[in-house]
Amino acid sequence: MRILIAEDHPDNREMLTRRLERRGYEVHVAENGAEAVEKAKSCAPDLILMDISMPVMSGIEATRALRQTPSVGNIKIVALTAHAMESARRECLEAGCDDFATKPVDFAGLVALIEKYAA
Amino acid sequence: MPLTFPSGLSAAAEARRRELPASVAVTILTGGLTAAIMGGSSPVMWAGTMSLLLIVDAEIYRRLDLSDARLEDDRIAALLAGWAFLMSMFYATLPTALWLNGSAAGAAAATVLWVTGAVRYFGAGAGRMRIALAGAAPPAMALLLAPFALAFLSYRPDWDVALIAAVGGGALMVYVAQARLSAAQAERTIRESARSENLQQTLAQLLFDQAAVAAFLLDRDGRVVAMSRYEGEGAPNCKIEAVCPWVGPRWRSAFARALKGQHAVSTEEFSTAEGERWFEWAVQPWRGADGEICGVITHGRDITALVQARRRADDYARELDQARTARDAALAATVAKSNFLSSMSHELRTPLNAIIGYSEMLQEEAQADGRANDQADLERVLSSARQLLHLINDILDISKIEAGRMEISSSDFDLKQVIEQAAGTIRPAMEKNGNKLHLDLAPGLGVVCTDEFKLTQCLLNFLSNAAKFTKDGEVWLSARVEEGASGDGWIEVRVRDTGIGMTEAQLDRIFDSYEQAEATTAARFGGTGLGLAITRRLLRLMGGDAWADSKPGVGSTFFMRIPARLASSRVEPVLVQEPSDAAGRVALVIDDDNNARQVASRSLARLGFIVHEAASGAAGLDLARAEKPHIILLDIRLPDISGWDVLAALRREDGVNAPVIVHSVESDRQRAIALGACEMLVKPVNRDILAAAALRFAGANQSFTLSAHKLTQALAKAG
Repeated sequence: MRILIAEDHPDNREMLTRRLERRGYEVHVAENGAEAVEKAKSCAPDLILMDISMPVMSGIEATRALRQTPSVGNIKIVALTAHAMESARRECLEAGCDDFATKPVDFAGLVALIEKYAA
Repeated sequence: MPLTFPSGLSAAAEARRRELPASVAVTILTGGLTAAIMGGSSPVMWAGTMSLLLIVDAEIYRRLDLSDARLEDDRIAALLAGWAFLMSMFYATLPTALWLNGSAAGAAAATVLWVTGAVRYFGAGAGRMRIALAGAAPPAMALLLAPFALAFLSYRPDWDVALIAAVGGGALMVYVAQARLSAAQAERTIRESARSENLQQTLAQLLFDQAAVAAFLLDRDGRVVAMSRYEGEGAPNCKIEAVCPWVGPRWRSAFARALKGQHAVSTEEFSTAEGERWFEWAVQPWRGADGEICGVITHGRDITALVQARRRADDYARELDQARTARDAALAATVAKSNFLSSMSHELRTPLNAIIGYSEMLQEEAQADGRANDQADLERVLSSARQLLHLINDILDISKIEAGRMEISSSDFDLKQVIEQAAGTIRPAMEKNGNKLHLDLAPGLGVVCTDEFKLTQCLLNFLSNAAKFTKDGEVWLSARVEEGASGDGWIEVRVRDTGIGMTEAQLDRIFDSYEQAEATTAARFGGTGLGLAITRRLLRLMGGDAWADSKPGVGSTFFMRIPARLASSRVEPVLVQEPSDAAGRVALVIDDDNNARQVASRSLARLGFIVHEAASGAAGLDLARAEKPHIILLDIRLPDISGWDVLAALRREDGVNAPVIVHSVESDRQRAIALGACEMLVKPVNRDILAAAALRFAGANQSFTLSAHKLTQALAKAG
């Protein structure tokens, strides 16, 4: 399964990449929303783990952009954010994310979520 | 100090009045003299009588004038007419007597005098005519009788002397009459002007005395010529400073300028025994008739009340302004606080994410390599990090509550299921401390409508407290629903443990923020001390409450009570009234959970569907073949075969082409659509969404979107 991680925080990006690769996933990374949209087109991932607060283009904007592009519109997007407010969750789902997980990430839960979409 | 107004008219009248005694004297003298010249046998007696009559005559008219009696008054006119007749008789008698005494010239002169005397009674007005006629009657009769008398006596008078006497006496009488007339007119004018002056003066005085301004007429030395009573009475010619409070240096300089022809207006402030007083005054030159500056006119008024009112108004405006600024600041602060909370939470979570993530990675590696020491250390790091996360969550919660930003979002959910899930979540923590968790759920715990997430949070808080403070003991979780009027009810949950318990004093404080029973508790058991405070505040926010009961060493019982709408008795405000196109259409609900199935069936039946229910996959497939439904609502977790298999079987079935809505707790839309479902709804689903989907896919009322919108609004209003 091919996963695209869109995350601006280098440590968190690195950590997620290593842990997911260790689980056998093919991982691609993007440092901001704009890059995520580009990578989504070029490497056609099955799922995107989308951070919300990112420079250049936020995760919300990137999700909207992806949802409006037919070629990449059906990729599963899981919002991954340190915003724990209820409103943040609503905003993500309204923008078109399929699911929502808060940071710090419950890794087992995240893997379960990924597996759900892999099925 | 009264004012007087000199006038030209009045001055002229005064001069004439002074002439009157002289004119009366001339009349008496000339009358007496004439009588003496012409006097016959006893001229002194005639002169005396005539003088007396003239004096009486003059006095009568003078008194009449003074008493202001009107000649138009009948009584007075009659009296005067009588008097005129008497006088005329006397004058008529005089010539006759003179004639008879042999003095022809004297008699002729007396006749002229007599006629002139009668003439003086002529004047304007109806009343005067009567008097004049009365005066004229005796001489007229005498004149008529005179020729007969002359003929009878056959006497020839001395015409030369008579002519001279008549002309001289007549001229004198005309003069006297004119003088008297003029004097009488003057007297009247004086009286009238005095009357009107009196009135004007009274009005002016009134205006001046009671005016709401202090007005002063000052001479060039600053002495008061006249003043209003606004500032009280002042002695004549006193200095203005003696009576007027607002005379200060600025007024004095304005006074000096006014004497040079300038006008000045200003406001003066004074401190007096009663407090501060304000005056507004004006000074202007007082110009005489020739334009020369005689002094100044100054007036002023006490504007203390006005100034105080204005100051109060200013104070209020300032206070209002301050309050507004404070409110704006408070609002800005709230927004800032909320933004800060949100960003702080984000900033704290981001590094924690890395800490927890890398620790877990390292732990996995340590486990793989068999490094037990590292593994234990990393577990400590992880445990601290998770504790920190918990703390951040609690602080964020309490801050949101305090900032009034905590939102309550109610939805329908199965209460029993939520309680069981919470129990499942807490079970590991219970077992870790060697505790046993018992569930005691009253029958009939069904679908309720309240904030599921917050209810779970409160439940978990009670349960984790019980787990934390109980060692090798037992914990009972009881729940029941109390049905109230019109679909409202209460959820009551009780968590009882056999833990360390609390004293009365401790019990009082545990629901306060940042309080644990003892300061040492945090050290022993961990935690922020915010959990119960958050629980109580969340419950109160939802309209409920939390409280506790405890005995040290025996255990504690925590209670919560939350208002909720109970699905079994929910009212339907709009749809009941709207005829639905679903009437007669058939729906099939396949769900093993009784509550969920009943809620869905009732919703569909209300829309007009004929609803069939199946509690298992096999039964569902049978009913689908037999009833040929227009729409199928399918649960996934079924006891016999999986809902996915049912879906696949339904799609393979030739006779069944009803659209299938997958209705499950797990969201797997892609799979549902891939297997041929038309829609995937995640439990607990809002009843309106379920209704809208059912109607849409059953090919029923296409305009339901609007109805659903209306329904949502109605529900929102109904609370």
